[in-house]
Amino acid sequence: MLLHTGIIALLTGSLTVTAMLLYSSWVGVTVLRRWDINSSSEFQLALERRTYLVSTIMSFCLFFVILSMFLFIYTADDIHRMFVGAMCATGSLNANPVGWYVLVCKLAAFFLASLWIATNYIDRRCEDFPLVRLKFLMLLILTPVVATDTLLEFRYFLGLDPAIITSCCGSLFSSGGEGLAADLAGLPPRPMQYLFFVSAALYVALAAGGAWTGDGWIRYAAGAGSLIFFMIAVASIIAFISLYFYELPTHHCPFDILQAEYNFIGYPLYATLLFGSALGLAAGAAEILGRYVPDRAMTEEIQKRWFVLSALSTVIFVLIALWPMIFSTFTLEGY
Amino acid sequence: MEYIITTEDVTRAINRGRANEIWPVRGVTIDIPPGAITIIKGPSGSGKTTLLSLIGCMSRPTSGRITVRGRDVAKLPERFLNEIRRNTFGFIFQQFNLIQGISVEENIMLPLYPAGTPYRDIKRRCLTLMERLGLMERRKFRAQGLSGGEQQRVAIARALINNPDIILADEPTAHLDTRLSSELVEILKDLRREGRTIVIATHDPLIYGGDFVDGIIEMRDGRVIDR
Repeated sequence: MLLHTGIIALLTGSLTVTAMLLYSSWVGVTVLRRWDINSSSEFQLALERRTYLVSTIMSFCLFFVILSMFLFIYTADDIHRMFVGAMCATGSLNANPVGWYVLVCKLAAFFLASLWIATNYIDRRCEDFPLVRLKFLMLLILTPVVATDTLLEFRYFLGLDPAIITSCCGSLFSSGGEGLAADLAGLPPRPMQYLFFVSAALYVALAAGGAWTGDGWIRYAAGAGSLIFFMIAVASIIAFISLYFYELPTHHCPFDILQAEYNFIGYPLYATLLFGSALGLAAGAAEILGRYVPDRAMTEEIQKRWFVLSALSTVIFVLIALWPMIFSTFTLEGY
Repeated sequence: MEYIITTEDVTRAINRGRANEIWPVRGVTIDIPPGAITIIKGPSGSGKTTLLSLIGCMSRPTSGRITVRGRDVAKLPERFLNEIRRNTFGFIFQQFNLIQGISVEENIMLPLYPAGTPYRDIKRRCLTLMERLGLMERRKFRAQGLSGGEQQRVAIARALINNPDIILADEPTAHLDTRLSSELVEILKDLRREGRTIVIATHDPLIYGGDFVDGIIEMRDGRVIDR
């Protein structure tokens, strides 16, 4: 295994979180089978206190799951120097293709963990644990995802060999190549720009509508819209946004923008996109959660705050993407 | 009758599952009416103080139901108990528990600091209470410079600063002579006239034998034996 602080932190953290999740799942099974809020028995009171403690610990663990998404990308980017042929995280991920599955798994875990933290946030503001069963059912779904992520992470890092000659982003994200990455890189820039800006404007309008109109359908649409916009935004980063940062019409890599040469602009770009999408999704999901919570006004207030933050985050993301389009001399005219 | 406090089959275990496991409160069911002085009477080790701390949300039962104004506090997570302790209860402890080194005034105002009440309001309430309990001349004295009776009155003022509906007093006359105990009784009667509910844990005959008492709950070995 490569001795790198990022790798050690990721593996140690993931193992700890998986162990905690396995314990929480065991508590979750007990909650699903024996929870009875009307009982004041010794067992029920002890279970209520245990779920409270487990939820507190899990919210910290799942916060690590969210952070580990960034730590993984950072680590993959940082270790590229050890592989011949690698120039960014793409090269490191190609050095052992399991890395791409880790990335997908981490993305799934990121959204599920965000949803769980949002559910826990609402549940803890209620006196009678209205979402406790749902919360622990979600943990039962999250556990295999995080466990798979940990397993794949181990397979990826343990399978890395500095002797491997790898290929990098130039060949993978090439509009002339094959596969999903090449397909995304080959998307026509002009229609993608229209799609990106129209969908961003639509999502921000939906999130604002979700915050201020209180209409259930607008909130559901905003929740779903956050995920759809996330996918369009990732495709847009590869199709045309990255080109403006590199000032190269043929370089579509979504990872090079994380490097110092580009002022680490990829981090705020992805952070605002992920933060906005996760909050939008959570605010939409809160529309369903609110049905089970006695204090509807409280969830309304939380939803409003999340939608506003999500819209703000999306606007900042769009502004970062717009910056080089407005202020650099690079143009895509003719491509 | 609508009771302000009820307990239903309440138990409290300490060191549960260990060799030194004890049960200070076992299956206690009581009702406390509002605006009355209720005494919890019993010898040392009978579970009076533990029951008082359970009612006052300072500790949590192992099983059973405790309602305060109809709200089941036995199930509430700590974050909600904080709010109930601050807004509903005033506590008078056996040892007074005044903070040494700070003034009488500061001791009285202390419970309201975390509540976010404006300082001007805290100060106004404190002056009213000191006036009422005859502590104005001692307002700048440090707690350790007071007599037993004065310390008791400071403890009462501190218990009243949050304007609680319920006052819980644990052996309030344990360190007072007969004259000071009678003074305390007069203060408690005044508080009852204001409509406050007072629950006193005591084994002092001067208190539980008084004609001002509205109800007595007798405990022994963690159980209620008479009420």
